[in-house]
Amino acid sequence: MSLLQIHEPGQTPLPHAEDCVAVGIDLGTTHSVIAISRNQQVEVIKDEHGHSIIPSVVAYGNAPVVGADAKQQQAQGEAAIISSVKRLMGRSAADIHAVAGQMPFELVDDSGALRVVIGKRTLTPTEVSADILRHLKRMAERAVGKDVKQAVITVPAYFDDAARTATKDAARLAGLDVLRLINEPTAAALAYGLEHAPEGVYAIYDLGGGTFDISILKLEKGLFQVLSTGGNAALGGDDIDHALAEWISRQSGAAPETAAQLHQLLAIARGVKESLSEQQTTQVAWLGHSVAVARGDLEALMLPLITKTIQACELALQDAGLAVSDVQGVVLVGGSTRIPLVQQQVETCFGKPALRNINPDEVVAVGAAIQAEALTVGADHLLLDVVPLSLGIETMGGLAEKVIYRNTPIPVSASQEFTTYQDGQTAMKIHVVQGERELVDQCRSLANFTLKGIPPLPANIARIRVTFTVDADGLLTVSAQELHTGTQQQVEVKPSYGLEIHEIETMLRDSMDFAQQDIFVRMLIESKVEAERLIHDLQAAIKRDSTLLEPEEKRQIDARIQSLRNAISCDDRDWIDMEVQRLAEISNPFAQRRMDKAIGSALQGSHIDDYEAETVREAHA
Amino acid sequence: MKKAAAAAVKASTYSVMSNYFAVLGIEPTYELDESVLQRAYIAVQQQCHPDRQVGKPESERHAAILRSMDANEAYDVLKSPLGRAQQMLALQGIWVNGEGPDQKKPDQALLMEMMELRESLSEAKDEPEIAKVRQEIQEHMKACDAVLADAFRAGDYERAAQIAMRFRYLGKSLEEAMARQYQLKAAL
Repeated sequence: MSLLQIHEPGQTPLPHAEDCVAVGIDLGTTHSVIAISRNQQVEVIKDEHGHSIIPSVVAYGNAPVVGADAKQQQAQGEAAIISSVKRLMGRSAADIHAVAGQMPFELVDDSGALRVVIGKRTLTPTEVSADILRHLKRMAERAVGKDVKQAVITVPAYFDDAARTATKDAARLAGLDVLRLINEPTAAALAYGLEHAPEGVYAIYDLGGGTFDISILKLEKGLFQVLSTGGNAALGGDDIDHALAEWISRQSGAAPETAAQLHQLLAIARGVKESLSEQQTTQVAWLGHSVAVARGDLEALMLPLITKTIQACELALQDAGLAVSDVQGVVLVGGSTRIPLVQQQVETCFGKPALRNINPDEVVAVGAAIQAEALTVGADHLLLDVVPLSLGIETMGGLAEKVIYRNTPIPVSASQEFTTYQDGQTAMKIHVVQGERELVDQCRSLANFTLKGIPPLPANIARIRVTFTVDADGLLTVSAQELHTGTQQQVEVKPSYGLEIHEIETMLRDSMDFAQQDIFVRMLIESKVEAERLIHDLQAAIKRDSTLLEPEEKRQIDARIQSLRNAISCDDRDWIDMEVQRLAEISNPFAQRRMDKAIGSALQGSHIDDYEAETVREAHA
Repeated sequence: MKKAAAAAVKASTYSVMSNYFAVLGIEPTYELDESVLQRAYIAVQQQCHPDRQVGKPESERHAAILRSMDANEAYDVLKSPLGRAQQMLALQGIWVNGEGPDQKKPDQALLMEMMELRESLSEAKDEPEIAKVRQEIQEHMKACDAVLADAFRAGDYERAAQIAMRFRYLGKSLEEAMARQYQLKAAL
């Protein structure tokens, strides 16, 4: 029994922006952050311990536990944890060899899909990421007392199609509708409001715990273009910790002998690194030895690592065909950019002071939140993204024929015609790949499908048009059509990294089992949202069609709205549901009259046709 | 009713696909200023990009996204001199892009020139030799650009067509030369 909403074309209001909020999420390798922007004010969400920076680790005991609590469970030996799962996003079993040894847990091949082994369970990276996202979503819901259903999630600029799809699937599992995936550097630029800054080229230097990324962005008239990206997926603050731990061990002459001791030493090293960002010297106690560490000692250890990042910056500029002098500004992202030597080296390289007044751990989430608000409420700026890696299909001899080239702006649709190589061939295998290399083996396999029903013709006669469409999130759909018969097939590129649709659905069901703890909170929130939506819709309808309402009827409806408001303010779900029912019943005759009126006017005029004729004229202009 | 209308929009988009200048609302010209192109492109995207369709009805959104894709394609084609030349010729019904039927045939002299170029590429033994061939190709291409501008200004489409084909072949040879150069460098 819901109220009919009627809108003129082009005047559809935004979908209840006030009932459910859209969030921005930085789903990071070592930690994740969630933020909300309302009325252009960004709030970084804190958990019940007051932390906004949530370690991207999940402990799998009875139910998944995320963040600092997971780390604690691990320390107490209660559960094993999964960390750095972002490195595995979009990887398939074929990649196990490439990543083996880098991950502190076992990986298995489950009929082509890559899974992580943890205790008795095996999980896909997507499922683990979904657990992190679910935790962040609950944090936000608790903080704002509203349903959180929509999100902008950031991904590294170099993420390929499979990794982006995996990220989107993880969001879906966590009950989040992804408004847009945006590149991390672009999010950082948004956080600094660079869309209002002078036009020009900006460099985003992102040194996190485990990865380093450099991106060159061009900004013009509120528009962001990614020009080039570079970096090192295995270089970050953790490497500095390791180097320092080794140094302390050497200085003290006491090497760690157990895993627990190594753990402890690494924690000491991290502490030293952080305090030396503020002080010149510090003193540490390690296995009964006392070691003095000066900032100069640490800097000598860090310099080779930082030099590598600076070289990557120079390379990224070269890729974009630019010189250092073309760069208007530099943005620092990632906790490791708090290190004075990093700041100094970056500023020397680019010859100007860097932007670093926003917390470098939160800046990406802040930008994502701004974009989430922009996509639900509207904004002046526009993000124009590009395809990070070329997309193509396999042709005879294992060659990769590119259909969409890297750095093509998205959304984009491109076609290429192919033909059969044998007489009477009635089917064609379409193997979709991504990468810059010429040979399919060196590219990343995204999907396989077969176009059947090609009419048996001599070789080279059949004409098969393959169309690639990449949407604004950078996600690919491929279709193939035989032009003589019109036989057509379409796939959304997805399966290669291992998740089938039915598998996602099973996982969605499974995820319900773990939601028990929050189910009551959730049901209350849902009821409140539903109730507020009804009030909102009804009041909008009354405003628009007041002539269809008798004064007595209006008085009754107003009274019921007031009762419902009381119920909402008391947080009583049963009462809210009952009042919703009553209000819907009493306003039903009004809804009927509005529907009759709408049908009447639809029969008279044709706004839509008029409107579309206009669009066509515009397209011809 | 809605569905039919959406299809009509799509079909009409296809018919204008052959005119990338029109997609971006700019006068067809070979000598196109980059900033003019960029401005026109951004103006269309400000209206039509998927991110700008928040809360709009489905039919409108769909039409806008198609137009956003067209604009991306048009921008991509028109920002290169060869793309512009091919587009200018297509407007005259002359096809020299190497795809689809009705392609104009290159003349004998052009074919001979390209065969010789390919030979000198395959005969080059080391990196400096390839670099030399590569530089020659780049100089030829620069000259093509100037001749094309002249031909279009004079409305001499036959001449423009031959030069555009030469331009395209040279571009392919340049790619080949660069790939070989890279190979030889990597082998060092």
